[in-house]
Amino acid sequence: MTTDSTETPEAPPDGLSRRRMLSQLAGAGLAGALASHPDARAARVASKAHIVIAGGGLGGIAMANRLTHMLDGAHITLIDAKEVHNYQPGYTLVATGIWPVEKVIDRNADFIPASVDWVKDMVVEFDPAANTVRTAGGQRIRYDYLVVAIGTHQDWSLIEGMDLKAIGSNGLTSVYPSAEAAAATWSAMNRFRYQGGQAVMTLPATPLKCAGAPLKMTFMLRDRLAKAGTLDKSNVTFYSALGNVFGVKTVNDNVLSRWKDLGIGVETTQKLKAVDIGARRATFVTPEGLTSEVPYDFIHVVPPMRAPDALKQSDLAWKEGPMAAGGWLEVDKSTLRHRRYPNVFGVGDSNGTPRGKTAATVKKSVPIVAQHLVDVIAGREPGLAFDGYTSCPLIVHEGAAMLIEFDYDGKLTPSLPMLQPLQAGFFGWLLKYRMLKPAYIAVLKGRV
Amino acid sequence: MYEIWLMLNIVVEIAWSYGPLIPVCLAAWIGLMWMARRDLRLSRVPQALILGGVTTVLAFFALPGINLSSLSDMGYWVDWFNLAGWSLTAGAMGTAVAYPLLCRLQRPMPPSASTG
Repeated sequence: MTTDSTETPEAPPDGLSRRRMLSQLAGAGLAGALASHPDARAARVASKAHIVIAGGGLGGIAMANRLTHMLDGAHITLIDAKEVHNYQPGYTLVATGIWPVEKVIDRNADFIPASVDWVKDMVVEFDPAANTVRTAGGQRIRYDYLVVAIGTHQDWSLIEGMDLKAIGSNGLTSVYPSAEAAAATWSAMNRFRYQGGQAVMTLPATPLKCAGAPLKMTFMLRDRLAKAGTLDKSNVTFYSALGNVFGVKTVNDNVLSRWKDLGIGVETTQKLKAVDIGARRATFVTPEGLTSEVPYDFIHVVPPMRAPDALKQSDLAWKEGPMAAGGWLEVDKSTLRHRRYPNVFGVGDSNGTPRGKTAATVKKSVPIVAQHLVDVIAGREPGLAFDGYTSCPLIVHEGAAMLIEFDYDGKLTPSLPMLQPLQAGFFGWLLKYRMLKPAYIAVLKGRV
Repeated sequence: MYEIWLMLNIVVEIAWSYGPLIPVCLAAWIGLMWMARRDLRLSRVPQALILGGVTTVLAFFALPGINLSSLSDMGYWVDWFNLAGWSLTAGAMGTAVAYPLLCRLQRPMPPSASTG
């Protein structure tokens, strides 16, 4: 991919040019080139600004690392109470028995730069008019610039009878809440695959982080049943409230075609309303308000999602349009800068953009947001444009995956021209199984 | 270019994830080359290449299984190309190890001291 302009998101971070990178690789050696931070090679901008990063997930920590190397003298504060860092893209591998749970658990302390002031607390209130955030512990922290990276809120309360502590028992599963829930999901799936029975897979109508996960879980459950020899006495049905199963039409059609061949049933207007865990019965409701009860032996529950309360209830949230109901951050989709508060930027899942609540989106957008923030500090107008890139290595069975990449418009945008996004195979699988966590760590460290 | 930069970072992070194993292996190989430095002969290269070739073939058939996949999952040429690339990498490593070993094991014996 040729990138000799720093105006494209595909460009190496902060304009690391082809010639300079090659000369570094040749002259100083691979280790030397990788040891030095790409941002350190660009001119650092001197600033005494106070930058607050709300959220210590992939987006927040990657921003902290990048800004540390791009700014000279700035005060950077990262606010997040979490000590554990979970590699959430690995949850589907844990939940389907491919990875041990330990593989998705790291420590935030290993990735947050020492020079960053880490406030181990949670933001509970944004006051953008006063350039202040308030934490659960009562601290009021003033900022010059704010980066919102607080992720999503999983609204389990919208599913009557749901009990997160029951995941792993009575056939109740969900890959979303935590690493522990993913491991418990595998325990339940492992029992179910030897018995077979009625499997119910669900999908809500809200924006989701990793919207491919429910599909991967469905493909993998069917694969586990087939390999255990219990497929003939099983029935797998996917209940979606979306009207489809995936937001990109070509992918949606491809998945539906595969599921038809695999004997997976699909209902596209059924929203999970309630679950009776003890009786193993799920209640669905249609847009017309008709309810139906479905018995199950195994259920995978995907929660409706929205922005966390602190964001949803603040003036930073969208006030109108399709993102307002979820309270997502009102950012310009190209610059990821807040549309009304120009000293506020957003990265990651809490952004109110048309698509992209994945680690891949963070990978491509963090370099842009960091550069924009530094540009604004330096008195320049942000000049890069984010195209909404996201990616989903869609596992179709153990050993094969499709590498689907697309933009805001739902246009398939493979990173390399020879890749066929809808072709499932070894390469996509190898990426998911072996390479994406190392790539994630490199993003976390602010290198790619 | 971004993809090359990304891949380099992936390789480095994978290496980091193995802790001291890779530096130890590298040190062992350098030690092997050092021990065999006086015995290195170009004539041993073909044998080392043959062993590297055997390693390549073994890797070609073993790598899918090691990664919970199989040859039947090779969907299109990119998959085959990838498998071939990793197999050749394994073969190159096999050659690199075999060469100093062969040179060392097959070094000419010094002439025995004669008393007569």
